[in-house]
This record gives sequence, C-alpha cells and structure tokens, in this order.
Amino acid sequence: MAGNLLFFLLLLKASFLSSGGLANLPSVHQDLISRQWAHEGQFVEALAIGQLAPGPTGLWVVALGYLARGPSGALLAAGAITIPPLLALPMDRLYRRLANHRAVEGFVFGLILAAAGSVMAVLAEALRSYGVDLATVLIFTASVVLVGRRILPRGFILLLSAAVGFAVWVPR
Amino acid sequence: MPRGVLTRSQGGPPRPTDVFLLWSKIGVKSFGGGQAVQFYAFEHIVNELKWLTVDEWAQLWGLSQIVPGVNVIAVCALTGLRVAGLAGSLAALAGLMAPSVAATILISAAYTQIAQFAGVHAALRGMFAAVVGAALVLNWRVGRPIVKAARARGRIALAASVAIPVVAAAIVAEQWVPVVDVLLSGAALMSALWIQKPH
Repeated sequence: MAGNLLFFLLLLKASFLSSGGLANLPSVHQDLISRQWAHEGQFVEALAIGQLAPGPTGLWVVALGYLARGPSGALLAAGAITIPPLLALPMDRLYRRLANHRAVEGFVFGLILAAAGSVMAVLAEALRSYGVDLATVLIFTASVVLVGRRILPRGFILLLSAAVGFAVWVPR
Repeated sequence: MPRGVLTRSQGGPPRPTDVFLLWSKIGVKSFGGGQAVQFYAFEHIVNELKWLTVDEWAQLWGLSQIVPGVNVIAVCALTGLRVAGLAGSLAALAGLMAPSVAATILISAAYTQIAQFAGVHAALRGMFAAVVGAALVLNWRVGRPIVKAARARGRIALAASVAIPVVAAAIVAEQWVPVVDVLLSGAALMSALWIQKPH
C-alpha cells in the first residue's frame, strides 16, 4: 500500500510539473524505471494504447498504471492526472491579472519548451531500444508528414503503421 | 446520445446532468487526443448549444494553458463551472473521464491478453514509430509560436528559446539530473528573460 501511495505521488508530481498530455512522460519515466516499477516496453505499450483510446492523450498514464500495477494502478493514475488541472477552478477569477504578468507567461513558455525537448529525448530512446531500421524511419517520416499536414485522422495513421509493422517485423 | 437531451435545456440554463451527458459524448467520440476533444467541445458548446461565447471560450482556453497537467481536463472543468457551477464542473469531469478511462483500461486489459503473440509486438512497434512522429509534430506546433514570440523580444530570448529544448533533450537523454530540475530551470530562465520589457 505504501507503494501505491508513492506511485500516486510520483505521477502527481510529474503532472503538476507538466503542461499538456505528454509532458509528464520524462519525469514518470525516470521515477518508475529507476525503481523498476515499470520497464521501457511498458512505456511504449502505454503510449500506443493512449493514442488508440478515445479522450485526451494524457490518458496514456492510465494505460501505464494498468500495465504496471493492474486496475488499481490505472485508477491511481487517473486521479493523479485529474487533480493538477483543477487548479484552474480557483484561478478562474484571478486569471486576467495573472495571465498578463510577464513572469508567469515566461515561466509557462520555458516549461513547455523544456518539456518538448525532454519528451522527444525519452521517445527517441524508447524507439532506439527497439532498434531503428529502414521501416522505422519510413513509418516515422510518413507519420510526421501525415499528421503535420493533417492528411489522415490520427487513429487511421496508427492502424496503418500497425499493419506495416505487422507485415515487416513479424517473425516467420 | 439522443439530441433531445441536449436541446431540451436550451430554454433555461444547462443542468449538471446536461453537462455530464455532453462531455461524455465529446470524450467518447474524440479519437486523436486533446485536439479532437477541443474541436468537438467547441463545436457543441459554442457553435451548437451557445452555452459560451467565442470570447468566453478563448478565455477558458488561455487559462487552461497556464495550469499544470492535461489542458483539456482544465477546459472541461472550466466549462462546467461557467455554465452550471461547481456541480457542473464535477459533472463535466466525470463525463469526460469515466468513459475514456474505462476504454483505456479495457484496451490495456485486452492488450495484456494478446501481448504474448509476436505479431502484436510487431504491430505495436510500427504504431510506436508513428506515435513518435506525431509527438514531434505536436511539440513543434506548441513550440514554434513561443520561439516566434521570443524572437520579437530580441536575440537573447530567441537563443534561449531554441537552446532550452535542445539542452533539455541532451540532459534528459544522458540522465544527468532529475527531469524536474531540467523543467524548472528552463521555466525559470524564460521567466527571467520575459520579465524585461520587450523592445
């Protein structure tokens, strides 16, 4: 049970220091891997499931909670990502003054930029752990173009990539 | 969900039940992450039901950007708060989260049942390469306007806005210090640069 509480608090900390659904990834990754509460493969699985499921991308943590600790882990994760955004409720009235404060704006911008770099570093490492070959590069590039130009819905791109992965990498 | 449930309350102010039903509808059909959620939420709440004006929506959205965590969860709670008070806010959250969390758990559970098959891993590997590509695009979309704003503030701000993500990536990849320190350092640096008046 002490493990559950710490698990919850680690996810809560990561969520409090993030902006956007994926920005908690680097912190969660570092904390759970170092304690051996989750392994690299589970992050990959959870991120894929998070994209497949409806709702915000931030729910990838719920999938990770399930894979690492079962249903209770999933519910703890859901709680941990729901609480921090609720700060918006008491701030609703203060907001106009606060948002125009330059220091606050700069702080949020810096947080977003640092998180963007950190997220890509963690994702690149996870991708490398699989081994990067020609098919990986092609799927990655196609995804950048299709998502970037909004050519296909994201769910469709994921299913297509799954089919390509199945065709290329399944052992015969 | 039958349309009547939503249109019925158009005469009076929406009740928490209306807010709950609307947000569960938005949550369930939003495949493609936060952007899809925001798209459907705007369509229903502003365009169709007119619970909020475009200005009010923009205000909520701005606030959701500066609070920690998943922005869409903040937007959801705020819309509920504005149209039906604290009860409305809880109803909105329950509507968005309950079905989506349940779906995520079901997919995870199904996945653990089939995870032993090699084909599943091959498919997942393909999917993950696409996820990384999508993440690059999304980070680019949130990062680029900030870099542009920094450029308007001068060379030092511009250099910092480019250096922060690059240095953060290097430090996190090498695991030199806790991630939280990296994030807070980037935030503190930009905050210090932003305090100065733009020329």
